Amino acid sequence: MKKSILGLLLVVVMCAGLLLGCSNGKSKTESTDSDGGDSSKDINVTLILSARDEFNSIMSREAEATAKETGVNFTVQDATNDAAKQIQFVETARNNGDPVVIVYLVDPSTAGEIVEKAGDMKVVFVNRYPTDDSVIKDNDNVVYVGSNESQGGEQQGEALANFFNEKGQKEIKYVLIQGILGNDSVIKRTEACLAKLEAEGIKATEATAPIACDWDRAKAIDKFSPIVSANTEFDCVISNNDAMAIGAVEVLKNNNIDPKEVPVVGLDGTPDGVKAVQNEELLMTTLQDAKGQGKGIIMATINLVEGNPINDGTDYELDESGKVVWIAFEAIYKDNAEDFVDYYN
Amino acid sequence: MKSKSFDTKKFLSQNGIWGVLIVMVILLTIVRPVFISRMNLQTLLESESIKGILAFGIMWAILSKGIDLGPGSVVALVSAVVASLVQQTGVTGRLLGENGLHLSAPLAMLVGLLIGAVVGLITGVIIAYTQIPPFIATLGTQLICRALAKMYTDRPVSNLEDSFRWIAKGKIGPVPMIVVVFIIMYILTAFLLTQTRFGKNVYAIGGNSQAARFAGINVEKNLVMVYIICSVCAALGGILLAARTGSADPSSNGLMYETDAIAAATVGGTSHSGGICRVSGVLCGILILGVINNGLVLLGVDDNMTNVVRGAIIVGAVILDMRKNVKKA
Amino acid sequence: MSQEFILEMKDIVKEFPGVKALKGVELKVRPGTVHTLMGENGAGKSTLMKCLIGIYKQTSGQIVFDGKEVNFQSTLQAMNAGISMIHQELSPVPERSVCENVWMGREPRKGICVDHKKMRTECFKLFEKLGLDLDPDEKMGNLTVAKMQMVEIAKAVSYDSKIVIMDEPTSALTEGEVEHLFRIIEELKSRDVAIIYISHKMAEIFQISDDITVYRDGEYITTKPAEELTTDEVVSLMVGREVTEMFPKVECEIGETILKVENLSSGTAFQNVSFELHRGEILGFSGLVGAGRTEIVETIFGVRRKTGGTIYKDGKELNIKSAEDAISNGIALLTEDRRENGIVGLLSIKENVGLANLKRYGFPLNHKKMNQDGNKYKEMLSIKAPSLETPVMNLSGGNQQKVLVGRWLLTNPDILIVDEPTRGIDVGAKAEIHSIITKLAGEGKAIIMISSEMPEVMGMSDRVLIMHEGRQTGILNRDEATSELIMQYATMEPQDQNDK
Repeated sequence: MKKSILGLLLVVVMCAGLLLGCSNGKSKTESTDSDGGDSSKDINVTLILSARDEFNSIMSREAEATAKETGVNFTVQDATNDAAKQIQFVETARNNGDPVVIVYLVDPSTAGEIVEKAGDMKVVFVNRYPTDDSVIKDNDNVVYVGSNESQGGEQQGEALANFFNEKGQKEIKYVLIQGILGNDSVIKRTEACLAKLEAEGIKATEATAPIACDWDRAKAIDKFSPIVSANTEFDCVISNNDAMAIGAVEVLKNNNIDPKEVPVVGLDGTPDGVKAVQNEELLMTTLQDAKGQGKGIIMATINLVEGNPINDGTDYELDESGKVVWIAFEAIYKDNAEDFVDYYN
Repeated sequence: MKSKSFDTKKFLSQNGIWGVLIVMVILLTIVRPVFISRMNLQTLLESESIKGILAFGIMWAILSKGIDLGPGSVVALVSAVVASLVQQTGVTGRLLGENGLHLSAPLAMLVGLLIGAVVGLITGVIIAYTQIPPFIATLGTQLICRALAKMYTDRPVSNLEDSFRWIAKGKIGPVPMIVVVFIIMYILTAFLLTQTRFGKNVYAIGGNSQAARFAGINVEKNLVMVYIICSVCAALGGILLAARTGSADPSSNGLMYETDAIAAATVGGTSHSGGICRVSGVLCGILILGVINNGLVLLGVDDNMTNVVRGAIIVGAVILDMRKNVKKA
Repeated sequence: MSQEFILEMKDIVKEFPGVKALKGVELKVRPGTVHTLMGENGAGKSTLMKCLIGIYKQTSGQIVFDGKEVNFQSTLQAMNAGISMIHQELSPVPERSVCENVWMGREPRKGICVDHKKMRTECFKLFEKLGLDLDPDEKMGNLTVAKMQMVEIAKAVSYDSKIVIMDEPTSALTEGEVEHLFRIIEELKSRDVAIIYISHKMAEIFQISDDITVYRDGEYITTKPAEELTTDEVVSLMVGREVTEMFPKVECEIGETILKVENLSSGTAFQNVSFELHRGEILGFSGLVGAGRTEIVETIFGVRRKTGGTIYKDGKELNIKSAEDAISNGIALLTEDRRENGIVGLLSIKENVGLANLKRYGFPLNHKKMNQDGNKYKEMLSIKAPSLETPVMNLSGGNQQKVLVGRWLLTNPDILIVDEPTRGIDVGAKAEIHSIITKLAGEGKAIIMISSEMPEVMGMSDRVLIMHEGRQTGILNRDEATSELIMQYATMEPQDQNDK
């Protein structure tokens, strides 16, 4: 008897907590509309994220700010890495009569399905480029805003090529630290970096098999450590993101290896990454402009509804089809790092 | 009175797992001599220390015939909170404001351990008094703690004070602090398990909770304690993780750590039917998984393959464990 | 072809580790008769039946059923061949309907779908045939025990069984329900079905049996037609030895009252139980299974919730909420179900002995003292085991029971409650346990002993408290307690209860 009462109590508390949580979320969105300006009234748009991480949070915060300025009613949903859930959110938005939906794809190969489910609703894909880009090219209602992952990798390759060309070293061995295996960005970043090195006349070979560290600093330390302590020979470290790159730097420093001699390149331009570049621990990193993407998607939403070119009101580059906005990666070296220190604040 | 004859069969069935470890070490040393170097062994221990401490905690839950899926998320939550308290002040982008709340390293750690204790207390009370299966209750803990961590901060917390990082990176003689903490936790766990009433109680509860109740053991209170210990171990893991990496990322820290810890405890002979475990076995399980992780990197084996090997070893260990128990029954 | 016997079991031997449960017994059953198996608990009746229906595999011996030698691997095989058993503890699926329970595992099908219509109509036919008033759509869990039993019998008939085994079928039935059961049994007999009947109730045995076979301590004694036997003869065949030898009762001085229970109740399990227990006294609790005896002692021991009444020890009111409280108040309970809530099989003898008394070993645990205690009781109770470190699950039932006795002696209780202390234990160990209990009483400890074995209750107790369906029906002194009188109280309906 006592136990069942206790159980009931727990359930009640949990439900109350949930409701409270939900209602908080709601009031936040409501405040966004009420503060809204006078232009572009009544545009409801939902951003459906694949998951919440640092990058996505910054992007959605910038989008929210832009929405507030322009008076768009903006909501964020988190598909928690579940493609099926993402599709459900799209259907909800359509049933709600929203004119546009913004989708950060969980799985780039489900773009076609999403466009189909969206029906008459216009779709803005952000960050992750659909595997089959005919959904964008053949469909007037679908556009893309994002950065070219390959560009980031290419900039990494360029940095390393310059470093070694200066030293006159034509053959190098590298250690590759990868994100989650199979991620589109992992493949593109890695391929582009290696291709660039080759194009610059550097013969790069693996010092050991690539290690997959799931974008995580701790895992990078765990997996990179044995490679260093086993005295494996390598000339540089290529990391798919900053967190893992900084983990690698930790390992190098623990083993008294100077990262100025054995360069490490990161990607993303996180605050930690920028700081590491300033301290000459990372050779370079490159900023994927989260804020740019956040601003870009809201502007694209308004332009879609009003029938303007989708980059109207921004400086971002539009490709020849007029349906893809490229937000450029920005390479960060020691001399320009200062400009990026406050980027995230 | 004690029989002096040496029971070889019993010795082998209890310690055979060490044989497996030794064979693995020998084989690896032959293929890659650098494996046995002091540097590499130290690296290995440093890498496994955190998961090892988690395994010592999870061992208690499994021994009591339960399970805890929460530790990985507790690592994330505690590392984020503790890291935010020991961030260098005056740095732009500091989570708690440029000159906001800042605690000394020991105090911040205490806060972290306390969070672990509270999480364990809640989980334990739910499990002991409502009798929901621990799998479900701790699944809840896992989801909630991870979400709390992400709500607390949506970006990695870095720029931590060196005084705090010492807990993982400092050295006593040639031994890194993180390994020292791991060894202390081993001794503490062994002591608790074999030298205290609490240890015996948990053995009895895992072996036959009804019998334990009829023998005057307060089953509920002891179960709550089990989950508190498990969570506090995870909290300690979270503190060490933040100290070691110098940053706490709520979305990736501790992800799947519970799986590794459960695997280590299981490989080390902790029976999922409750009531059987030896701390030395768990230690061996941790080392075996460590040798696999480290060795496969040294051998340059593809990462997906590493997981195949780990999966196979875990399932194999459980099959062995079940066969051992079937024979006895 | 018609043979004299539908079933012949010859020279059946069944060994368990450490115990020879059946020592070459036989059983011959004629078709269309009720054949009753008699014997004390542990005489081997249930084991023999389990060998027959494939739950156990006999170590040696031959089983001939319907002219063919058989060796069933499972109860399902036995059922398909025509032998069904209605167990003492029924095992229906309570959330499903009666109909589904009858056809479980062999639902009639139409194509790949279950033919629900056929299931129901067949069920109706079956119940009609047996004269049962049951609704096939009722949820099984809503039925009374008696009705569930009827369903089980119907199920057995639906398998076209030639033999139906009934293990203590009337233990949970009312008078009227027993009459109904007997009518069904007559109906089965008329269909040439043989009934193997296991029961302890003399009156009903002589009412329905055609043949009686008696077993004792795993040995076959005799088979005779029921009309050639009297109750007294059956009892002497069953016991076969002087009762006093088995129960070394020593007259000892009965001291002052130590425990006083007034109007103790716990929900529906039992109500208004009152008794006094004295130092040096053995108070026997008798009654049929399910009469509420175990529930009373669990309530005194604090592991079951008290809903009314008071318990006094040495004149002071006790408020016991857990086993822990009970132990610290000097009460010990040796439970009925050794495996379920007694031993921790994986732990060693030493640890099992110390389990209720770990406070004694301090912090950190004093292992030396633990060894000393373990050795002390191992010797004192002559526990047979290779070492103190042996896991208790490797011991025989009798030795496990002694380990538990050791556990409780170590707590040095004033009141020792033993619930079926010799169930499932071989004869030798049984006598040892009896002498330990007697000795403890001699030392001035007060003892409550629950036992379903009549000779044990009568042989050991100073007084006997008798329960029937959760109510106390009487307390008898040693000199007035005869088995007939005890049985009369134990089967007494509350309404025809006397003042006593």
